[in-house]
Amino acid sequence: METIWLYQFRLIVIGDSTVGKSCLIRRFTEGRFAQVSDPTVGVDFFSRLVEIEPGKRIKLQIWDTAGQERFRSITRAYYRNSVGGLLLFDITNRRSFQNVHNWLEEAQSHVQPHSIVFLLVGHKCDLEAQRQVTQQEAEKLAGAYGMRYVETSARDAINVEKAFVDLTRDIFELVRSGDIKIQDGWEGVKSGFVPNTVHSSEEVTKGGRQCFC
Amino acid sequence: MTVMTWQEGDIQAKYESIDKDTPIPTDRQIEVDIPRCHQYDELLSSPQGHVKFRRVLKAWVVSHPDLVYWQGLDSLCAPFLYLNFNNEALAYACMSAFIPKYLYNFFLKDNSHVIQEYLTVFSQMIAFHDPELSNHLNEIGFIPDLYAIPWFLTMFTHVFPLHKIFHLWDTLLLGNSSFPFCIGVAILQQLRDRLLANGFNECILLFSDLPEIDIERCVRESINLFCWTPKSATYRQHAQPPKTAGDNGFGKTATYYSSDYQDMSKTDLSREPLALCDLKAEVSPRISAEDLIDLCELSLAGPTKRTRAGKPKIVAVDIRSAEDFSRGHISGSVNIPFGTVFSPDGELVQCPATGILQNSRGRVIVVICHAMKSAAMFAAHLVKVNFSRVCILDGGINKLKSTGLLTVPSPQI
Repeated sequence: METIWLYQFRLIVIGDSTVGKSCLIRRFTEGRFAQVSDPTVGVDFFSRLVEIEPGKRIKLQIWDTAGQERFRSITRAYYRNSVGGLLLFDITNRRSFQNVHNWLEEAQSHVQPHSIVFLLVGHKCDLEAQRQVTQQEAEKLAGAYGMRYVETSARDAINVEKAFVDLTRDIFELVRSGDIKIQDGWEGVKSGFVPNTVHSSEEVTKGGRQCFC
Repeated sequence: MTVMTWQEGDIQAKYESIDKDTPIPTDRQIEVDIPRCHQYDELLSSPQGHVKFRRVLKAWVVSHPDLVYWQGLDSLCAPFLYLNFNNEALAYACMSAFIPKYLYNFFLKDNSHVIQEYLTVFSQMIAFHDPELSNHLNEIGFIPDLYAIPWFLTMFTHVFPLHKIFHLWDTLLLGNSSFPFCIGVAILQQLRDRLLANGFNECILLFSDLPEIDIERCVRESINLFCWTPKSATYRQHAQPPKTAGDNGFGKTATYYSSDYQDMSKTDLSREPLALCDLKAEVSPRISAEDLIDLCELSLAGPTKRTRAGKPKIVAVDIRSAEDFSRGHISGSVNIPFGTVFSPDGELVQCPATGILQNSRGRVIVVICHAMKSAAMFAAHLVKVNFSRVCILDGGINKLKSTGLLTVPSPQI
């Protein structure tokens, strides 16, 4: 059965190779952690429903991208049709943090005339002993670009739900206030089917994948 | 898998001469990809396997300065390494011979023109073999760019486990470089019911975690699709250019199906390069005049007695006006002027000509006109109403004028 949702948001997940993009998404959509994850070649897709307020469900269409730099020629085609993005770096890999700036520039130059609401994610926060990027400097960088910052761990299921839900809420507010408008030919935000009768929440979870985190 | 024209000694010497030790910028990426590549396998996940993996990949990168390491090359390397685990040089040589044949220029730093052309030809193959599926996928915007890049960039090594890859490749290696298109269509057809029943979201999710594919069936169906595909229909201007004599890496006697279209000598009747935007605008593939002549068994000496077995059945549909048709046409072609069978909204109207078309269902339908635009539009209309195996004659009727193959009906007495 087609589940009922208010809006569909298309999100893109970007960041260097091996920062854990696919693992974070799998934890969020499937509630499990894979020790070994194949490198993403091109783009991959995931989907999950989130309830941001009682009765208000948003369908997230999540596009996972290859981290290798040369794939940007392929993945940049997906920026334009995304309303939001998670920009990941690995807190144990300083270089992935230094590349955040490049990822943002790349995204901004290919998203015109739209803009993407980004969330900066410091991933693998369970590996505190190997940390190479402090929370303060990451927060500072995020602030400079007007992003929120959150630290997550797919392994220990820390803040995974929060990262996606916070971003979804922010976008929802922008849609509600009219700062982000639904447009024909743009896939970033789509209006869903809203029935007259309110369905029970049981029914809603039936179709989508359940999350256990 | 053997590399026929190379001597074993040459391979060893060549491999040994390649510097696999000096650090290169690609090292980091190779380093992170290997421990994630086919690691369910005992050999490939062993420490020794990782060392060999690294050396073969590095040797390939270093010895191909015009190409670069793309993620996915690790998966492509896996079957070669597995099969030649104790002979790295041979693994390297096989991979080096495989890539130019099936993945020519896929690993260029900027490969977008190669990939875009490849995916467009693939779209045309879907429309050619399965119009209903093609119509549905286009309607929901589920284009090959979204799911087929890992299929082709890695020749399916990123999507299947090793035992399935071997099964698939055993057949792939017997076909020419257009065989992968047929594998792609066969995979789609195995998921056909689910694809047809679903919208965009469900379809992308289906492919993000590809369901179990019956590989034996996939191989069988790919072969059938391949036999129904006119050779020139998969022409690509960015495919490997014709090999010069003595440079034949897969030195075998070419048969009709194993030889590559672009390896055959080029004549005025061959296909001509087409700009990507024009290629993209056409739903159905073009075929060359050569192919048409061959498939219709036209020749100045009259129809040959012996029909070659295994050739697809074909019908040539000439959509020019009856007047133009009477001035000269291909022997055996049927005249169905554009306006007679389609209503302005693209529906098939009831008339004798429609009957001819309906009776031709299942055959290869070659649309012939003098203007390519009209032919392409007519073909697109046919696809829309679910006619399969529709293609158009590249260059139109004019291509055939110089051949002396056009017939003029004798005047009535």
